Amino acid sequence: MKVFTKLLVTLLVICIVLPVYSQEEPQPQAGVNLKVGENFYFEGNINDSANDDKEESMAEIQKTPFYKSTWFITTCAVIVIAGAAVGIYYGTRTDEPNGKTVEWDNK
Amino acid sequence: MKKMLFLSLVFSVLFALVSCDSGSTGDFRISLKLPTDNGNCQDFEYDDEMKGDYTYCINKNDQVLLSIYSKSDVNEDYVYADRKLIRVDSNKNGKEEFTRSLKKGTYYRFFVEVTNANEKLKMTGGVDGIYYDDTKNYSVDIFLSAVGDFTRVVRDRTNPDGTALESYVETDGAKGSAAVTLKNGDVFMAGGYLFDFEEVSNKAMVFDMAKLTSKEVRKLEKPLMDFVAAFVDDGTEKGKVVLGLGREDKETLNDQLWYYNPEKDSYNLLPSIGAAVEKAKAITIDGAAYIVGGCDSNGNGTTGIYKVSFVNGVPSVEPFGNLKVGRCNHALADISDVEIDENGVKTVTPKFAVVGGSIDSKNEGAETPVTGENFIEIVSEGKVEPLSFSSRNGGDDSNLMKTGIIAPSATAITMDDREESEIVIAVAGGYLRDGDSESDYKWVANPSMVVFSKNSGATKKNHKKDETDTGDDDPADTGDAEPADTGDDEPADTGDEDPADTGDTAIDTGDTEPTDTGDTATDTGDTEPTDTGDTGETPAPVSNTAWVYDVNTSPKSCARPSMAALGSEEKSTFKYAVVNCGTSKLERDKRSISNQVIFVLQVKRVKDSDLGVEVFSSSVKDTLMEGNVDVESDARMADGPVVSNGLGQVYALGGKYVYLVGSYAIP
Repeated sequence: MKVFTKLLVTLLVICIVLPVYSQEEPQPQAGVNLKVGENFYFEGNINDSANDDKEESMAEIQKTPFYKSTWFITTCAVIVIAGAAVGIYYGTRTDEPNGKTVEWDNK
Repeated sequence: MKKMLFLSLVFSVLFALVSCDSGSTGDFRISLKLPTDNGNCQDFEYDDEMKGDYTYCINKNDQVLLSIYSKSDVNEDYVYADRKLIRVDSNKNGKEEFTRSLKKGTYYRFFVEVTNANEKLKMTGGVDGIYYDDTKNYSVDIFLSAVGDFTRVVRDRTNPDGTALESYVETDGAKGSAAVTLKNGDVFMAGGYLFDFEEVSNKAMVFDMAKLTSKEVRKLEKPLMDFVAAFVDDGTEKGKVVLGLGREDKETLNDQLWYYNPEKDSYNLLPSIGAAVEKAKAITIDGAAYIVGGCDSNGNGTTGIYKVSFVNGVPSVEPFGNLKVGRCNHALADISDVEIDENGVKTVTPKFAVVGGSIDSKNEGAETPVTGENFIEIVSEGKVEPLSFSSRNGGDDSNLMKTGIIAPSATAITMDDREESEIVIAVAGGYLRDGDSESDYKWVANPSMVVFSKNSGATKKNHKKDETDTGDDDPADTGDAEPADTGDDEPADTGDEDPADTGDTAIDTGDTEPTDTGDTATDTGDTEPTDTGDTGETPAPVSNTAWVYDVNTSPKSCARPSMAALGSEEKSTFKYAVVNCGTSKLERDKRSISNQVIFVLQVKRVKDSDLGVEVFSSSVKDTLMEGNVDVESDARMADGPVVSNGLGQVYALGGKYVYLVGSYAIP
């Protein structure tokens, strides 16, 4: 049981450390600021739309860090709840976990 | 959101960490360690009980009884606290909770008894002086040894050579080492002449019997052999060891005394007794040590008796009396008067017997034994008197007073099978001059076991004849004014009612104990000419002495044994003592060393109905160890000490290994 608890603690530490240290410094915005009503021309080959999609997709990913992702929050929530449950279980137990035992081995 | 998540995670981590710690203390795990066997324990079937020997196993249908004793003050006596009976349901292993709680700040003693399906006691073991604090976890080993038999102490039975409890003594063993049991059950051993190194050793070692480990501790201030060592209770958890005197090397004797402090691992000098002596003896009675006799650098026996004790933590060495005959190579037996009042307060009046020995110290075979009426002297506060004794017919059939015994072993055994307990003195081994004349004799290892007891039967019978009763006036009367109970109607009486028995020194009383594994002692034959059984007349006066002895022959002759009483069942007609035999040769050189022989002496009450006297006969109990030696061991020795602990367990030392004899019960 102690191994299991330690594992939980380790995971929790990872959950804390990774989000904190994985945040990147905000980068200055690149590109062109457009205002409403301004005209602009797109120069280039219209057939390059595939590359545009790719860039757009990358931008989407960069916009949502993984610690905000559903899977990460769900995992951490599960770990938090499990950790709390373990803590409550052991914290509220009145007798010792392994108790006073006598054992032998006939080997 | 991020901060919330972070905080909740930190909170969870802290909670989990706290929870990890909160339940991890206060545990107490006892691991039962078994003696080495032939590996067939797990193959046990109930029907096999009669086919093989499963003494060293905890098998299905066996029962493990764990008794718990406690005390809140280290200087109090233990009181019974709880017990747990475990019915074993597997041949492989087992684990059970033995109690819900232990009390913080309390000293605990655990005693384990293993019985088989027929409720025959197979093994016992225990530990002492465990101070429980619920902020810590405990893991304690209890080595179980066969009851009334010896086994080598090992931590892991599957690896006896690698995990055996070993001393600083190598394969060829030692002579003249000493050992003491501390108050917490640890065993201290030191000194001796080591044959492997051919030198007197200054090594010292403590065996932790709750962890089954040994550790070399601070070396003695000087190399010592044939020195004294005894436990002294100073009120601390472990107590102290008083040690000193003895021989430093071939030329030099030591006149200094120290006490060893096991908690600080240090030696402190004690006031000198003013004489350098060797082969003195020491005994512990009611927490104080008594050092008796010894032979000086001229080889002459000395008479001094000194008491070493601690009063309010301060050590003192004070004279306690003088023997009538200066001696060394003797043995001591504690025969103190113990009274317990209605409030349970115990009062001990120290009294001990000084048995045999020599009046000088020379090469073996050239010594002069203590003979005559001073063969045994009784020492008590302000009084030293010779013990008057005889064989059962009033003579001295074994010529004890004529030949004496040099270097015997002795111990006192309390026989409590009657309403009034009585103390007997068992003596075994040593060496003596065998021959009728002063010129025609040879030195032999004493093959006899002698049990001295108060001459209750004779006294009672002779009361009827009045004029023959001189027992009360005898100066050797050791103060027991109580009329002796000869107990003719006592069911425990194993008396020999055979009218054909004419009062042999060692009568066969018939062994009625169902668990007895058979006597191996042999009848010493008709050494008494007295035939009083068939004349129809009043039996001849048995004795006008205070004590009477009975002699049986031992299958093993031990030249310099040591002996200690083994914890025996209360009210049993049988009591036991352990003899650490050593070599049977008189010489103490390397050529004379032998395997370590250990045997258990069984003492029982017998009645000579013809002579109207009760005596106590002794025999050697059977052992599972072939020839009374550990055949798996290549270790040998010349002689070694034997010590008992508060659980009645006895350890035999002096060789490479430590051997434990399981007690029948806590004394």
